[in-house]
Amino acid sequence: MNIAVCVKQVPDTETKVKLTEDKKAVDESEINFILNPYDEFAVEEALQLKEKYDGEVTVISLGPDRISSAIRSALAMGADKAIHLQVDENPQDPNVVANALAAELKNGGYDLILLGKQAIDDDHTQVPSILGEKLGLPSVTVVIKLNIDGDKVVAEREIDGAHEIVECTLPAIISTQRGLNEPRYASLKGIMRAKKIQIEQKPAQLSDDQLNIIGFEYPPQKNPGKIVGDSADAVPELLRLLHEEAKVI
Amino acid sequence: MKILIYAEHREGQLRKITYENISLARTLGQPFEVLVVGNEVQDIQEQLGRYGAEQVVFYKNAQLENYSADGYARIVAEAVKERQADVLLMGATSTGKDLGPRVASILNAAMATDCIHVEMEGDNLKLIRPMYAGKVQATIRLTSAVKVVTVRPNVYQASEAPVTAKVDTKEVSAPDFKTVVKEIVSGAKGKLDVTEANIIVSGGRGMKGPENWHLIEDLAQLLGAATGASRAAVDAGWRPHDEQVGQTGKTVSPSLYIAVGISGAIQHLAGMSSSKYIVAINKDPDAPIFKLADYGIVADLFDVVPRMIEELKAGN
Amino acid sequence: MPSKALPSFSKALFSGILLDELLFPYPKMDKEEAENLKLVQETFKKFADDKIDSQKIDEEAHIPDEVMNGLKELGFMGLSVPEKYGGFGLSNTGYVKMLEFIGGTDPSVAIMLGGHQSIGYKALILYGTDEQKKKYLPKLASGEMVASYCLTEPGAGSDAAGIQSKAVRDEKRGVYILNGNKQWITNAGIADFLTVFAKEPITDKDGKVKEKISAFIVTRDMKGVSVGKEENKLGLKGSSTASLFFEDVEVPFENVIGEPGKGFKVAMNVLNAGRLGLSGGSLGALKHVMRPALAHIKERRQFGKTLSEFEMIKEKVAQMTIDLFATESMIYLTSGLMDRGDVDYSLEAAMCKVRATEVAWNGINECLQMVGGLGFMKEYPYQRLMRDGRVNMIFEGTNEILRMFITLAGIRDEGEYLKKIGEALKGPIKGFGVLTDYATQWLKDRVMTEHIRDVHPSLANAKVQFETWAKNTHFSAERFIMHHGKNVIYREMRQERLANAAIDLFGMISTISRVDSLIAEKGEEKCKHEIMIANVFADQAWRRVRRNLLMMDSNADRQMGELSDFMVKQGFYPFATESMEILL
Ligand SMILES: Cc1cc2nc3c(=O)[nH]c(=O)nc-3n(C[C@H](O)[C@H](O)[C@H](O)COP(=O)(O)OP(=O)(O)OC[C@H]3O[C@@H](n4cnc5c(N)ncnc54)[C@H](O)[C@@H]3O)c2cc1C
Ligand SMILES: Cc1cc2nc3c(=O)[nH]c(=O)nc-3n(C[C@H](O)[C@H](O)[C@H](O)COP(=O)(O)OP(=O)(O)OC[C@H]3O[C@@H](n4cnc5c(N)ncnc54)[C@H](O)[C@@H]3O)c2cc1C
Repeated sequence: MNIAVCVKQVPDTETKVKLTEDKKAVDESEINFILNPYDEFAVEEALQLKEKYDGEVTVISLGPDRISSAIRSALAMGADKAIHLQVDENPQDPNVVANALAAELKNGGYDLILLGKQAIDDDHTQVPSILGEKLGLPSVTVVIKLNIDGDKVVAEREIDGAHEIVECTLPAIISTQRGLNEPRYASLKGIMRAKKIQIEQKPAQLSDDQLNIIGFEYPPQKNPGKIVGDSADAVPELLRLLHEEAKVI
Repeated sequence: MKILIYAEHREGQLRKITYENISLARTLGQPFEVLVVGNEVQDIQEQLGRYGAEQVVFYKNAQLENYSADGYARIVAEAVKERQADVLLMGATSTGKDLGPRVASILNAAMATDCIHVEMEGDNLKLIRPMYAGKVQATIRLTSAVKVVTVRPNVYQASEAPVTAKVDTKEVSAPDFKTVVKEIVSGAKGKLDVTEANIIVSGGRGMKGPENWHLIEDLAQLLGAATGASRAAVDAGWRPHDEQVGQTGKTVSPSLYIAVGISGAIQHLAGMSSSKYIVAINKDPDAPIFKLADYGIVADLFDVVPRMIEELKAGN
Repeated sequence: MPSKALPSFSKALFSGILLDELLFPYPKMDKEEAENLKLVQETFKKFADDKIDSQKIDEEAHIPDEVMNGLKELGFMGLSVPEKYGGFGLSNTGYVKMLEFIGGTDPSVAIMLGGHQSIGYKALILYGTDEQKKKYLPKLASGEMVASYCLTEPGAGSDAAGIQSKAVRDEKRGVYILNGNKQWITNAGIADFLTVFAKEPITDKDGKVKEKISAFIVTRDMKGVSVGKEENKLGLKGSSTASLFFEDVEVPFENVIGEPGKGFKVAMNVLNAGRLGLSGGSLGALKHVMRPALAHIKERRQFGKTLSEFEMIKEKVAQMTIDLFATESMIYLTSGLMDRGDVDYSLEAAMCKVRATEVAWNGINECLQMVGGLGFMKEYPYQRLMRDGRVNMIFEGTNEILRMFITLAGIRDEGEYLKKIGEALKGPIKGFGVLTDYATQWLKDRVMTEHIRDVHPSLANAKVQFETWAKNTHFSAERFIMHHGKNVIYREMRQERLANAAIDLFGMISTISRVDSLIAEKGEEKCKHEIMIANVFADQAWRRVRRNLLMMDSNADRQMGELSDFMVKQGFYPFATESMEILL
């Protein structure tokens, strides 16, 4: 099976996001970057499918130079090849990203395209769905169970408060959600192997941005709360506050 | 600027986010219509009218009984064109997040996901959406001709403003579906999803084990709340994945979030910090959750929670 | 160490020569290795977040199998094994950084990994034949075999040359017959590959038979090898520590590591090389507790203010930060020297070990103090890290022994001028820093230097302090030798002072070099705090050096010695206070 996994490099979940002084951008100088956690599920799923059906796993990532370490992470998990679509700066409009990925994916002859359900930096949650339209392929998002038999795909996807069982045929696009699998850790052997793989570099084909970020703000500071008490005896007071002050119960 | 509001429904029932979006559209002072796509949807006229929708269009086909991503996308895109809408307004629900980008792609529109603030600015929209799991908020502008906007549930109040809704029903031909929904498996019966709930009671590693979860469930039931969990509780196998709140779980903004035995790791806070009121019950006074909590009790949860249940049952 | 090794910076410093070319610019990691190391750290962090529960490991005094197997499968047992033998081939710097990282997650796991690779199979890496390496390293790298370093015996701790284990050659069968027992051996309970030091009778050139130490590879499956019961320890509870017994164990001739009779050098050089791992691990543990401690003092209010607003608390925070930074600078400068491969780094490694273990101990203690009673509670990590860190000042050479080593090995070249003393200095603790004749000659050809190269103006003051006190330390060392002659080896209180002065000087120059290179890279603006740290450290350090040097000549050492003798003779504290006549 010829599988493509689209991955993104994002700030570590522990990062405290700092803005530049003019608040027009995020200050990247102290950020530790990692492979997007949801993409790990995609890589893992690709590797499991490869182990089952044979084939090749290609990692595709769009971003500036710094993303090579995220690509290496995916390679270290066990992917075979990697393509880096180069840009000077990440586009703000997810549609631009999807277009560039689609241009690359179109001619790859992939049976399956996997990606994380969302990148935890801009949280747009758009690329997997857009790719479906651009490539004219079935695309199932937020998948927590995947079964592929021949070219028949049965996927279980998470929707608010329930699960949906969806069917389609290959080639298809699947966006992955926590629960689908347990991503493997990149072993030291894998890291050494990854070091030897040449990452194919090419400029990304960029379309026009139709989404502009005017500026950023920090979320409004919450007023310091109060400690109602240090034993169960504080419960009546807590309930009173919730009822009378906050009016939420 | 004409707004088309996508009415979300499941199993024939309209969902709350639709009313929230109608209420929002009213405040924008722009003409708007509500679009329903499906087969059997109940009480359209009555429900949508109650929240102030004067014009409703119902695109109907028996094959649209269940949601299908690409099928629905085609119909919704068609509706946007036919109704000459400039803005498609949806909920940032699982449907909105799945369907929105597809419609946008067909219409060559730009899309803003998960907005927490929508306002008119000249003849465009000023949109604010959280990024980096809510650690910052971005003000964005869409420059495409048609714009797709999804709004985070529970941010705008659904307020009633009764009118008589005019419903135009249109039989549409169903397109070919590339994906087919075979079945919807509901979670536990009557279980409320965290993203929609007004009150959430969440448990963490401090709960010590799944055998104690009845405390969370009982408290939730008394409050009419959904139950959530930290990743530690989910990873330990105590709770299902779909209950996880946080950066790699669900993002929620209920009116009340009660964190029980949850330390408040940055990844957890990312998912619930926009809750209106936060209550923390934790025996560690230094637990970071207290920094965010409006009300806290520093004590053993195994004393506090039973007491809460007791007091609520007694109706105090 | 190659025979043409250059002398160490610190040894030269005692001789009044400042070899600043060894220390500037501050060493930088190879870019590719840095990227790999980041991936390895990510893997470890994910694995640890998911699988390592330090409190549980401490309580159950056991590293769960799931964790052990995971570490093995992922490749953490072969960090420093060269790639061609199936390992990851980290440089010394990379290895120390990893141990710092692991020590900052769980000290028991760090010591298990360190016991295995910092010392357990280090002799094989440094002195093994290609055949020995081919046979064992792949298994050691994969964790199929776990290694132990077996030197200490009931009768020989600090005085390692006094070991009693014996190996006798049986020429007919081509094996050594090994007898003896080892005590407090890390990983003993789980190890399969034992680097064992024992004495064998060796006939020297003039036909005399002498007992000399050799190093042997002993595997757990050999007949006659057995393990004692797990020790019940203060800390590092998850790591295995036990005795090993050898009863008529037949060890093939080909299992000798290095030359027969040269085992003591092997033992010492393994420790020289291993010390930095322990140093890094110690600092990691301190960094680990600083997080919750800093969070606590920011939140906890007393007298209407947060603890962080009180000056005595500020002092603690600042001091541990300065000490951490300075020690870190020493460690990664030294690991850089190791990676160069052409300098003698034994003194610097010893300095790092002494300083790092004490800075970590004090720092963890202060963190515990800052959080008050909470620090005493088992639910919080402070007490555990304190317990875990205590032994660091004891093993891999006690800090007392290492201070003696620093001074005695450091002044040996000075002593070479006065031949006799040179001989005596070789005596007391065998094998002390085997400086090559090449290096000695090289040093002799140098003249005293008073200045090091220019540094960024913001560090100029620190540089002058360093130069001034380096010169004074050299003179003090010279006076020490001249006044005490070969008795220097008994003047331990003075040795300690000189060692402390040398450590401070090395700390000063390491921070200066590191910050100077940082400024060159990032610009002064972005290095505000680093510059401040380097300057404050230099200020504190030269005052300590001054005090130590003053006390070389003027002190109460004689009285202190006498008093101690009196007390030991008494055997208890003999001075009664009113109505406390029943003495404790
Ligand atoms: C990439 C990544 C993504 C992540 N995503 C998420 C995410 O989406 N959501 C998430 O939640 N986490 C996430 N995490 C994990 C997160 O870092 C924390 O590990 C997790 O949130 C901790 O869960 P907890 O608060 O239940 O457990 P702990 O941190 O162990 O806290 C337990 C708390 O219970 C308290 N307690 C214990 N016993 C009692 C008692 N008897 N009475 C009262 N209090 C008690 C303790 O004082 C403590 O504060 C993520 C981590 C990573 C690395
Ligand atoms: C947890 C643990 C793990 C260990 N792991 C290993 C291992 O893997 N392999 C191994 O071989 N050993 C190991 N050891 C042993 C360790 O190396 C020794 O404990 C150490 O070398 C000190 O020896 P000792 O305990 O016999 O103390 P002693 O040598 O009896 O020393 C006692 C005290 O006297 C001081 N002292 C001794 N001589 C002098 C002197 N000349 N001048 C001034 N002070 C002096 C010492 O500094 C110390 O403070 C381990 C020990 C522990 C506790």
